[in-house]
Amino acid sequence: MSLTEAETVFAGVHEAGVNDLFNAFFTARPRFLTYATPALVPPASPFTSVPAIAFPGIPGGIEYRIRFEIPTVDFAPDSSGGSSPLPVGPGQLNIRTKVTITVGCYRYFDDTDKDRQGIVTPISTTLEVWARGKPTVTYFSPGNGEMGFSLDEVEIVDITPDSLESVVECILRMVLQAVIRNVRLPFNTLTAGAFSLALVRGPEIEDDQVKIYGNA
Amino acid sequence: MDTLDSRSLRYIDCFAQKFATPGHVHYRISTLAGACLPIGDEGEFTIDVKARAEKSGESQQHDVQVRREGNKFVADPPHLEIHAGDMVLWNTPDPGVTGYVVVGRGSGGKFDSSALNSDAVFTHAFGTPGEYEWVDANKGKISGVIHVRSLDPKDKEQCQKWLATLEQGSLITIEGDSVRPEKIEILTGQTVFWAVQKAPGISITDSRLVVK
Amino acid sequence: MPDIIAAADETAASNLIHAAETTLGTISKSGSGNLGPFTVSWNASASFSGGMIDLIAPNVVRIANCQLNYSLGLTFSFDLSSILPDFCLPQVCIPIPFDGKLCTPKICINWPTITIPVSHSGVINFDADFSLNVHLSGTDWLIDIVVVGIPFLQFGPAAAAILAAIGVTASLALLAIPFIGPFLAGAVVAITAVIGIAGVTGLLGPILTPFVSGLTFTVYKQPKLFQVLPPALPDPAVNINLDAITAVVASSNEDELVISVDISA
Repeated sequence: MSLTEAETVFAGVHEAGVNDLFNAFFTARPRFLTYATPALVPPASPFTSVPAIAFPGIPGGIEYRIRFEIPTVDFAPDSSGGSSPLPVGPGQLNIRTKVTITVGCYRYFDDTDKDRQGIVTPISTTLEVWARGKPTVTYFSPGNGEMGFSLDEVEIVDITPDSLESVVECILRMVLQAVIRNVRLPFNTLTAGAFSLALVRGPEIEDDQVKIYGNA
Repeated sequence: MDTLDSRSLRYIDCFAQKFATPGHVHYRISTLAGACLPIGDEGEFTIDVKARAEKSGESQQHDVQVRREGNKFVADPPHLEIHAGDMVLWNTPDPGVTGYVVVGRGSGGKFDSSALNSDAVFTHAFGTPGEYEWVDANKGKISGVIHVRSLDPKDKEQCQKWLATLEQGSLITIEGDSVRPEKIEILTGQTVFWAVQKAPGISITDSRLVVK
Repeated sequence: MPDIIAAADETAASNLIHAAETTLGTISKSGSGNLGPFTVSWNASASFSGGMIDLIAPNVVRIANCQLNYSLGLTFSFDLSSILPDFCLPQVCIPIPFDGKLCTPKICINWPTITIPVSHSGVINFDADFSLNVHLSGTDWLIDIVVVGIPFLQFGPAAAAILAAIGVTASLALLAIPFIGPFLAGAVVAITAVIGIAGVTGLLGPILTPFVSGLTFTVYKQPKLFQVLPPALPDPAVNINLDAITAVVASSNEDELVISVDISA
């Protein structure tokens, strides 16, 4: 069976290639891996600034930092060797990463102190995150479009009780989806610049690849 | 079109002058630019005109060839001995010799191929068909028209007829302001003779070459 | 398995190759040569277009009826004395009023060397096989298709047209030569006969064949450092390295041009 099948052009990117692309993206733009209030970021470290969580009685609000490692992707069929808590089915992908959540824990020197002075101590935890989703496409004009990714579910292993796990999973699904939304792969990249591609079919996931079909 | 201009002679032109008076003449061959310079005794070429004895026979024609040597025009032969009443004809066989003027003076007479006066002849062989209006570029009033018709022989007989016509010349006589005939028609390859009996120094020049 | 695979069937490959023909643009050359007893200087320009594409595994692209669009400017120098007979006007004698008779000398006509320009444009169709060649040129990856051997060019119709154009142009140029009238028709015939179609064909070969000898079309050109996303303030560009590229013609239920690329961050 030909690669182009019923269309005239085909482009397929292997999961190893997508991981190289993820690596290139987040290495060039590391601020998309770290979201923090400025007080919790070391000098000269790239990050995306977020406001502290305002709360009455907490001076300056709750400081925090969320930092991801560069995600890796696995296209169907499952290559995790059974370790994925969200194994991929046909047309699906896994995204795996680690997230370090840091909170600026504020403690007053003296609860009776009318000046309410205190100290912020960062405390962190690192969680392994699995997500399952699918590719998306944004089409601008014939031959001009981008591929992205959307996440349907997130699984974090070993948090109890289950209700806490659900809350954290929901928060991380929203945050990770926002992070991954920044990663856009133009059709020109998927073809390595060989030809323009007016999309007719795809993106489809199979054989550890994401595939698109169209006309030149 | 042909270049018809007695002020600038080429290999298809001839200039002839009759020498009626015994004497000595110096002359020079140059371009028209040098024609205005006086001819002194140091003129390069000479003609000795001897008196004609009563029984010496008809007047003769003497031919002088004009050639180039380096930057100069030369006459061959450079020195002539003729008798009064003889004609001298200047011509060049060399297509590379162009734009020359013959100017001379002395006790035997004066002449200028760019300003024809008395007993002078200018000839031109026409090689290109067309209508040629000729005028005096020296601001005289005379003019005429030569209509040159092409003949493309279709067969050998026609070719022979055309070749025979080439031996026939046409004559235009100029005396003062009189030009006879004013219009003539010839075939390509034929020669026209302008015989200037008396004139104040005229040229025979294609009107398109005259700056107005 | 390669990181990226891009494949084009014969329809898409045709588009690629026709675009490559356009990108090659117009090539110009000039030179000089001989055509019979005449000298010729020439300038020529050529471009390529069209053709039916057939992909043949493992690495051949066959183009049938590729069009070589050419434009020629030829300048011929003819020494007319080599064509026209020696000809002299006879001596002409006529009586003149002030002297018995005057005779002009025989005047032998000098046939000059004339220079005539001839222009001709046309199209020659040819068939050729090309082989795929992937290589780095400086910092760019190129996939070229390079002609195999020297394609055969049929010059017959072009030669006939050029010979006719020479005849017409020579005829116009000769009209201006004094005294040529009776010899004109014969001169034109003589010029075209001396040159002949074989002569023009022999001239066209060295002029046009170099355009197709070594003919190369570039169907892929990308920098080794490939830009995925352009800079978007405050973020810099995102680039990847194209580490290795291969190109083959794969044959299954249809023939395809398959480009495989390995990348790294």
